[in-house]
Amino acid sequence: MTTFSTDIEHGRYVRFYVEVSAPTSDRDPVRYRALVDTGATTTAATREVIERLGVTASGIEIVNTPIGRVQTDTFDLDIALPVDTPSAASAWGDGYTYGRAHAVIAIGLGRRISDCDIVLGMDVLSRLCFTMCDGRFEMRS
Amino acid sequence: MERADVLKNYAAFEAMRAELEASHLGQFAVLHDGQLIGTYASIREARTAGNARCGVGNFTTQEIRSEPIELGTMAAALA
Repeated sequence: MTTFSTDIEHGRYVRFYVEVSAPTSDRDPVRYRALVDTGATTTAATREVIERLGVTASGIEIVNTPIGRVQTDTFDLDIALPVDTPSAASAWGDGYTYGRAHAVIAIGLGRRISDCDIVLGMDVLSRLCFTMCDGRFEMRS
Repeated sequence: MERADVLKNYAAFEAMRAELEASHLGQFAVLHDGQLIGTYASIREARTAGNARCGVGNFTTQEIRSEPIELGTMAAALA
């Protein structure tokens, strides 16, 4: 079993890089910083990601917000997570390779959250085994 | 997909939402030209079927859910 681990920043934030690609495009995957958010039911991506990958809306969803329910576009994306394989070469030079991509229906965000372009919600997190303990986040594929 | 096609498919999905929620909750619907193509257990299966039956990317996908999406603090950053 492969494992990825990182510090929980300031005791609050779990951030790491993911590889994002569009299933309907032959453009190369792009690496973006992602924020783990167990309070979000669905993964989200900023317009920067969506435009760079050249994807168009693949559906519509209703989202709860503090001012009520709003209708928003969704986008089909593939998101690959880092898994710790030190013996393998990394395309990004960071010592990690990226696992099999998770297919997601992502919500579009108008701005970055905590300096991240991707927010990983429970639709992805629930497919993994992860723990948070003593200031460390560990994730297993 | 053109915006008009996305809206047309969503209108069709909304019209059959109650029926789909009753019978296919948690699955993923594929729609094309205002018609339901099928329901599938995963997004990946839905994409594969959509690409095969409608042409690559020429369809929309909708998760069949009974509750709106919760984005928590992210909601303030919606596009």
